[in-house]
Amino acid sequence: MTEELVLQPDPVTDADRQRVLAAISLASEAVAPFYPMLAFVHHNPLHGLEHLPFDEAIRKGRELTGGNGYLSNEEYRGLLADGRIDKGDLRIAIRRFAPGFDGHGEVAAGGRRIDPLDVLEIHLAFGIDPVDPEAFRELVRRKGVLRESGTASALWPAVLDALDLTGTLPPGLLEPGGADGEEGVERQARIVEAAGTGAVQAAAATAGLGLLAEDLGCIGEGMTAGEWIGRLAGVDIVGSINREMIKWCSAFLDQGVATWEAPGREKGFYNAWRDLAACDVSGRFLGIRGFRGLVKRLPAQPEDALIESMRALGVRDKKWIETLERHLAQLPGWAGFVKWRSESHDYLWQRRYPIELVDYLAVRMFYARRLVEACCRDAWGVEGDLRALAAYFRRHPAEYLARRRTADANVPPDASPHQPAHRRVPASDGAWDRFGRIVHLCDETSRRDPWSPLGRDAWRLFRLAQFLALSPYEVRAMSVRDARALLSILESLPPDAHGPIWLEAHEAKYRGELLSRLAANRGADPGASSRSRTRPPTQSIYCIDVRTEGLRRHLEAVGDHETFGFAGFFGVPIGFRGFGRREDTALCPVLIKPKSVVIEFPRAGEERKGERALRGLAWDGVVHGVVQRLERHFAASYALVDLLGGFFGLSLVGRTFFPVASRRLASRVHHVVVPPAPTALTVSKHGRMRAENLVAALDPPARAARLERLGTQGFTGEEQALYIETGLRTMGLTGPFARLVLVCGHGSESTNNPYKAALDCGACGGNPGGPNARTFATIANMHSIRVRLRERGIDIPEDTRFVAAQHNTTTDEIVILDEYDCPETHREDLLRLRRDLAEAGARQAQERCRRLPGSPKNPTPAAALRHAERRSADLAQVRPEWALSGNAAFVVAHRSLTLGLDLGGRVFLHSYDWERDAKGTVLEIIMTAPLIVGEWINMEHYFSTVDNKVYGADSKVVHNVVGGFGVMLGSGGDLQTGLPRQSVMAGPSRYHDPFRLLAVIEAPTGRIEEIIRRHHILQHLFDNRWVNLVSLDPRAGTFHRYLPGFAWERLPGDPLCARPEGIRK
Amino acid sequence: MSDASLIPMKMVEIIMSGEDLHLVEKLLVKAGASGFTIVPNVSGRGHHGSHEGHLLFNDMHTLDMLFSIVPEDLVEPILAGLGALFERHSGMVFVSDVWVTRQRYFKQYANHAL
Repeated sequence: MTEELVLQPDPVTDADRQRVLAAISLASEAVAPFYPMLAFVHHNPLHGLEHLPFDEAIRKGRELTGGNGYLSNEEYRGLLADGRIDKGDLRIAIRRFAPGFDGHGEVAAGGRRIDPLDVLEIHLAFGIDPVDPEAFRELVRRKGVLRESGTASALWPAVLDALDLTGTLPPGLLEPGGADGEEGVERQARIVEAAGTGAVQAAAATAGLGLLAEDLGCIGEGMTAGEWIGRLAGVDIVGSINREMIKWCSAFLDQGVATWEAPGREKGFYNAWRDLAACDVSGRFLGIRGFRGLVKRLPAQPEDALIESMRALGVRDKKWIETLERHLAQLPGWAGFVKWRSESHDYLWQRRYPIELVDYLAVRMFYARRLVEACCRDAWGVEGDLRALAAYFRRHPAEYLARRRTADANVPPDASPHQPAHRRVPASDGAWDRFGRIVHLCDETSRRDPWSPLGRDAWRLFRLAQFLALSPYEVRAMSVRDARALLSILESLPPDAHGPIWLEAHEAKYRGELLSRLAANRGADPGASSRSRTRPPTQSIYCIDVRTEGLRRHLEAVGDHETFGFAGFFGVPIGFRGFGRREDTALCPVLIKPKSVVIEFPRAGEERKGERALRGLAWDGVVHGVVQRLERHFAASYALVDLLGGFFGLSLVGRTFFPVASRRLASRVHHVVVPPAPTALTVSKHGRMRAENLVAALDPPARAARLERLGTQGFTGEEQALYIETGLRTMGLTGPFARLVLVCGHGSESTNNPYKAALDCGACGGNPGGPNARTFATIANMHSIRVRLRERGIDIPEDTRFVAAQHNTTTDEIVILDEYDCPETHREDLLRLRRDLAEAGARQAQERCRRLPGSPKNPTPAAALRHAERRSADLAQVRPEWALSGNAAFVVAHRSLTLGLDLGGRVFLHSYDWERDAKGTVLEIIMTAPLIVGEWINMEHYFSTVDNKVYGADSKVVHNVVGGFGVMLGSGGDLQTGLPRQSVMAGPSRYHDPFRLLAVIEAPTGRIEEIIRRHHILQHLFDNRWVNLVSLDPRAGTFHRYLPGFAWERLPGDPLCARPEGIRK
Repeated sequence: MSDASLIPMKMVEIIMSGEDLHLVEKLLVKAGASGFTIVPNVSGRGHHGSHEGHLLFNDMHTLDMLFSIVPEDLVEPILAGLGALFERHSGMVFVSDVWVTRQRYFKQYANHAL
C-alpha cells in the first residue's frame, strides 16, 4: 500500500466531528442555497465562489457541475458577425487579457511585420485550432481542402517550407483518398503482432502504473471514489446514488403535497432514513449485500457515519472539503435546498422535520461506500474496498490503462476494433490487458505519425497565412523560428481561454452606448438645473426594479410628476402577517432578517366585515382541503370525477378559452365567499401598560409567551423615525415635498405558474411589496414621526400626504392601497395622479407588447392592456411577462441623469443625490445592500442564459412541481434551481444578453473607492469582476471605470468616440 | 482569585463574518457548550484594515463577536472546528482563563443536541 491511498480506521473523536462540520460548511459554498419557490429569490449560482475571480470561479463551477460560464466561441462569433460585438472592442479586450503582446513580439514575414494582436484577433474570430491526424486526413483526402485554388496550392508548400516539414511528408499527401483502407489493414496486423512483445508489455505496464498513482492521488479532489470506480467499470454509481438521494429527499422534504407522508420525519433526516432504510428491500436491487444489516449497524451520529464512510473510501482527512464539495455538486439543486433548510431554523417545515447537510451527506456517503464495494466485487471479483482494488490494478496495470482510456472516450481509432465487447468481462480473460497493450502501442505509433505535425502546425499556419493575406513568397521568407513564433501566439490563447475576452468585448458595446447616452443627456440638461428645488405637484417612489424604469418614464411624460427609485421594501424590513393568516412572511431582502412583525387587521368600525371575511376564509379553507383530499384519495378520486367532473370540465373550458372572463368570475365568487374587509396595519409597538392589559387574562406561562410575541410586533417611535429618515435620505428625498407622495410597491399576477414568485419583488424576498409601501406610508403620515424627523432636519409639511400603491407588473395596473386614509383635501390630487398612472400603465403595456413574443405588434394602449391581462390569466402561458430579463445596468444617480431616456426596461434606477451625502454613508448603504441584490439578480439571469440546462431550469414544458417547494424535469432528477428557458430565451434566440451588471454611480470617485476599501464584499464583487463599476464624476462629468486593485481607467465623455485614455492608481 | 467558590473555566471569544455566525453557533452547540453571547455588528481594526460596521440593510457581511464559557476539555474540539473554518475564512479566536461562581450554568449538554 502506497501513501496515495491511506485508509484510516481510527475512532471518531469530538475534534473530528467539529472538523467535519466545518468542512461541510466550507464545501457547501460550491452550491447556492435554493429557496422554496413560493418565495423565489434570485441568486448567483456561484455565490459561494465570489471570493474567486470571475473566470476562476467559472472554471471551478465547470469542474464541479459541468456548467459553462460563457457562451460558446461559436455563439460569440455569431454575435461578432451580427455586429453585436464590435471589432474594436474585441481588440481592446484582447489587449487587456493578453497584455504581453501589446506592442511587443512582432513577427517578420518577408517584408511585413505581423502584429501579435492581429494574430489573436483572427484566432478569436475564426478559431485557428489544431486538427488531429485523422480529421486532417479526412480534410485533405476527402474534402480536398488543399486543392481548392491556385493560391492555396501555392501557399501550402510554402507553409511546409517555413516549418521545415517538407522532408517528413506522408506519401500521396495531395492525392484523393483511396489508399487509407489498405494502409489501415496493414496497420492493424502490425499492431496486433507488436502488442504481444515483451517491450510493449513492459511499457504499457509502466504507463498504467503511472496513471493509477496519479488517479489515486486525485480521489476526493478531482473525483469521488464512486465516479472513479464507476467510470472504470462502466457502471453509473453516481447515478444510482443520486436516484436514492432523490427518492429519500423528496419523501422527507415534502411540504404537505404527498398523500402518504413518510413516517418518523420529526426525528430528522438521518434518523428517519436509518429507520426506514432498515426495512427497505431496494438495497438488494442495488447489489448491496446485507443492506439492512449495514444500515442497522450505522452509528447514531451522522457525523460519525460520514467520517467512517469517507475513511473507508480512502479519503484523507485533509481532502474532506474537496470530497464533500463534489458530492454536493452531484445534485446541486437538492443539496442547495437542504443547505437553505439547514440555515432556516424559523422555517415551519424545518422546525417540524429538521434536516442538516451532515444528515444528507452521511446518507449519501453510505451509498457511495457500499456501491463502490459492490462494484469492485461484481466487476473485478475483488472483495473489500479501494485498497484491494488498487492492489488488483497494480497487478494488471495494462488493464488500468485500457479502462481509464475507455472511460475518457480517448481510445485511439486504430485500437478501438480490439476493445473488449463488454466492460464487465472477467479479469481472467485477459482481454483488457491485451487491449491496454494495444492502446499503448497505438499511442506510440500516433506520436510518430507524419500527419500529426501537419494537422497541428502546418494547417494552422496555412489558415493563419490566408487570414493575414500573406503571399506564398512572404511565408517562404519566414524563418522556422518566426513561423513557430506565430504558432506560439495562438497557443498562448487556447480556445477555452477565449470566454473572458469575448465577454469583455460583448459588454463593451452596451457600456459604450449607455454611457454615451447618459453623457448626452447630462449635457442636454446639466444636473443642477433640473434638480428641483420648487415643490412638484406629486412625487412617487418606486422600486429600483428594471420594470419600473418604463413606468416612471411614461408617468413623467404624462404629467408633471417627480419620481424616485429605492429598493422595493422601502427600507422597512418587516415580517408581514396578512389578515386571516397564521404565518409571517419576510418582506425584505434576504440579506437581512425582518426587524419586526406588522399585522394586518380590520380597520376600526369594520370589525363585522372582518369577522365575515374570517368566516369565509375558514369555509374556503375547508372546501379546498376536502376537495384536495378527495382528488388525491385512491378511491374517492373516481367518485369525485362523477360528482364534480362536469363542474371542473366547465371551469377548464372557461379558463382555456375565456381566461379573463373566467378569472373575473372566479374573483367575484371568491368575494362573495370572502367579502373584502378594509384593513389597517399595526406599525407601532404596544406600550408596556397596553401590552400587560392585553395579556392580563392569560395564565402566567401563556402570558409571558404572549408578551414576548407582542414585543416582536410593530416598531418603536425611534425605529420608525430611523427607517423613514434613512429611506428618504437614501433616495435623496429630503425636500421640498409634494402634497401627495405615492409609495408604490410591485407584485405580479399569473396563472398556473410555479415561478410566480420570480415575477414579484426581489427586495421583498420574492413577494409583492404592497405591505411595505403601506407600512412606509402609514408611518410617514404619523404626526409624532414628522416631529422627530423635523428635529433631524427633514421637514415634511403638514399638508403632505403619503399614499401607498402596488403596480401589477404583469397587467400594468396600479392599485391605490388604503385609499380610505387619503383626506378629502387630497382627493383631487389623488384623482389626477390615478388618471396619469392609468395612462402611464397603458403606455408601459404598449411598450412591453413590442418585446413580448406572441403580442400584437402595434397595439393601442387599451389593446395592450387587454393583451397583458389575458396573458396573466392564461393558464398555458409560459411567459406572462419578461420580468427582470434583459437587466444590464444599475444606475445610482439623481433622476436628472436619466430623465427622459428610454432605457428599454434594462436598468435598475436607484435615486441618489451625492450633494446631500457628504460623508458617503448613504452611498455605503446603497452599495452594500441594493447593489448586492442587483448582482444576484443579474448573475441568476447571466448563468441561466449561458447554460440553461445546468444553471437554469430548462424548459417549463416538462416541469413537474415537487413537494410544494421546487420543480424537477419530468418525474425525476435534480431540483431545477435557476430560471426556466422561457424566462431568458425567445424561441431559439436569446432575449437576455448575458452581461455582468454594469454599475454606474454618480459620485466622486474617491468617495466610491473609500467605501470599496471598507468592505470585503465589494472588493470581491469589483476586483473579481462579478460587477463592472463605472463612476461618473458629478463635477467634471467624466466617467472612470474601476479596475482590480483600486485603479481607475478614464473613459471619455462620449465613450463611443474614443478609447480609454489611461489608468491611474 | 483565591476564593474557593470560584471555579476555573475557559472563555472562547470569536470574531467572524456574519455569514459564518450560524456555523459557529452550530459548532459550539455540537461541541457541548451550554450557551453563548453574541455581539452583532462590531467594528474595529485588524490586518485587513478597519471595519466600521455601517451596514444597515445587510446582516450577512457584518463582523460579529461571540463568546462562550466552557469547561477546559471542550476547548480542543472547539478549536479543531474553528481552525478548519479560519483556514479559509477570516476570523479570530481567543481563549482565556475565567472563573465562574455557578458552575452548573456552564455544564456540558449530555446529548450534544442542537
